Amino acid sequence: MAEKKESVDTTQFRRIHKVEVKKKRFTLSKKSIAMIVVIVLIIAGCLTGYIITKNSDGYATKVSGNKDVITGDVTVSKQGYFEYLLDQSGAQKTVDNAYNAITNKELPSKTYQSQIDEEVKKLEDSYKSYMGSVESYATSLGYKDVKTFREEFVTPTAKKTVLKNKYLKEQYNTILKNYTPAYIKTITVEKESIALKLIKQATSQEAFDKLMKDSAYSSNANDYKLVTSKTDTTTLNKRIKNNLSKFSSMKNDGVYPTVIKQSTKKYVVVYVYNTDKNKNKDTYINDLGSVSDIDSNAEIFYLKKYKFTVYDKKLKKEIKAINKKYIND
Amino acid sequence: MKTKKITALALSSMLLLSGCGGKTVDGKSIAASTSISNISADTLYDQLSKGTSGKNALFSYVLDQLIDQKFPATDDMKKNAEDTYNQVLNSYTQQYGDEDTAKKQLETALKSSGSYKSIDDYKKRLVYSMQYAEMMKSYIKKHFNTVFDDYYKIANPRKVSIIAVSAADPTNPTADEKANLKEVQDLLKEGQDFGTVAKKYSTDTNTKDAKGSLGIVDSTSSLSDTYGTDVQSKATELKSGETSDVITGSSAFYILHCDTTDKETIKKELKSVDINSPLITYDNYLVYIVFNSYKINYNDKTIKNTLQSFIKEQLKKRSDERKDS
Repeated sequence: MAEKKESVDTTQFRRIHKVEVKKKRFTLSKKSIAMIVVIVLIIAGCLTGYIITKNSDGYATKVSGNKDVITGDVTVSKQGYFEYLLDQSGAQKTVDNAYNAITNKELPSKTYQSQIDEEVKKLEDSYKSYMGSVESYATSLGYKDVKTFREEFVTPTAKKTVLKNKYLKEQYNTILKNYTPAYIKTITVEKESIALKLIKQATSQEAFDKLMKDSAYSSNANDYKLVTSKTDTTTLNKRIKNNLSKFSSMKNDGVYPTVIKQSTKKYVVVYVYNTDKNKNKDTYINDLGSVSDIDSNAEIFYLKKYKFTVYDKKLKKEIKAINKKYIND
Repeated sequence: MKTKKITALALSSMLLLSGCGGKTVDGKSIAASTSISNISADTLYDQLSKGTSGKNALFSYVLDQLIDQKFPATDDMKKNAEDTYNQVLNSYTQQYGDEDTAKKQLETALKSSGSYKSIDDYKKRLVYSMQYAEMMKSYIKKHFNTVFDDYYKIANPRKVSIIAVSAADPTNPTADEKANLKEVQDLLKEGQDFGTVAKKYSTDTNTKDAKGSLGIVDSTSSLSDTYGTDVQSKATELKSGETSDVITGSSAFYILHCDTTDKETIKKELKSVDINSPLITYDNYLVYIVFNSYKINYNDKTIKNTLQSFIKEQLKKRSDERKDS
């Protein structure tokens, strides 16, 4: 049913609420007109720029001196080529640039040069053993000479390692908490009674090592060395790994007092060593350096510390695809 | 008062303007920063464009642009790419049961190959490969004699036929499998035509109906994928009219016959250059010659030097390869 519209007399309302305003002719000074013209030009320029550069799939970052660098049968712009380069490896290069600046800041040569030199030597020795000479390795990667290779690749890589070690030293306690590391040796036996007997016999590391060499147990004895929360369960049985925090919190070296039942006919006796994490700090730092995500965690830590910010939306997305923690939103 | 308001508006508009193209400092576009320094677009450009990877990237990009501008993607190409993708997806679906799982598996496989970012990227590359083939075809048709002469000299082409006699385990064939093989051998010994025997007795469904013909085989053919490396190497060793001994494959015995190595016969066969022509793929360096056949005007000295020196290097490699062969 159509609603009937009532007509309202507004004349009275207008009359009551009418406010007397002194009428004044609106005029603009020359200065104001000039300002308005400037604003209009700015907004028009901005909109034009936005329309020209607007491309939801493109980059906002612009290279200087953009022009058509090639014409003829094909037209190629400098910006187009730049965006192609960004597509190929721009994200990694941006992170590398940021991290290189950070390593230079964090590792003043006065304090760290000898460590950096040592790492450079280690890297170059590995290239030599792999390809005969540093030069062969450098040219195989497309560097024009060893000097450039050293400047652009070897030294930054060495600095990353030194900075990672610094991170491990300075964030040692946090890393211990996050990774719950422990050094363990195990003997696996088929009967719980034998496992219990071994626990009684393993009164010291020497005693446990002797049992590991015993022909009755040697084929099922294993020195895992450092294990952490990141150790894969294909390497370390899940039921042993479940006790990692207990191993890691042991204050003294010794046999873990409980037999770990891995499965039917598999009982594991664990010996935990290097439990003094202050005394063995260098050993821990050295071995933790090889844990899978320590490198990226060190990078994340320093990128955050130095407020790594990416202004280009597309580049940001690509960097996040490498590691979503590289940039804070 | 009014002037102040306008000034504020102007300032905010200027701020808006600076935000239009990302961050800029001293007129330079900034891609990223840390509290230590800025990373400008120009720094990234300088770093990324130099070295071997920069040269490669420049050539690839200019070639891509040339192909896109001269041989744009057609609806047919897009349809072909879609059909190819659907064929691949179907085979994955048969393997994994349902299409969703198949799509995920295919995407994972494409990404882990390192060549593709996504399924869409794969489809784009398929289209691109057809655009690329069009460019190559266009050049080869115009310079057919030159390209064919080089192909004949370099790739050792010939027409080859094959007979396959299947065997579950060729190293230990059953009595029936042995008998089948012997019958084929006896017929050939009696002077029966190879093609006729192939049509009657070959178990290779790909070639049986074509009297065993593998078509033109050359040193760049990929017979190994289907028949094994021994078949590939033997196929390019046979002289015209020669029949091979029995070759033991992984699921069959094979006998090959070289139908002809005659240059004019092969030339005639390859004259109509299609997308499957071996002339498109036999020479990895042909693309640089094709590229040089286009009119390229350089407006940037660095770009010119980089691109020209890269092409020169590649053509030198091509020339060295021909000296060695």
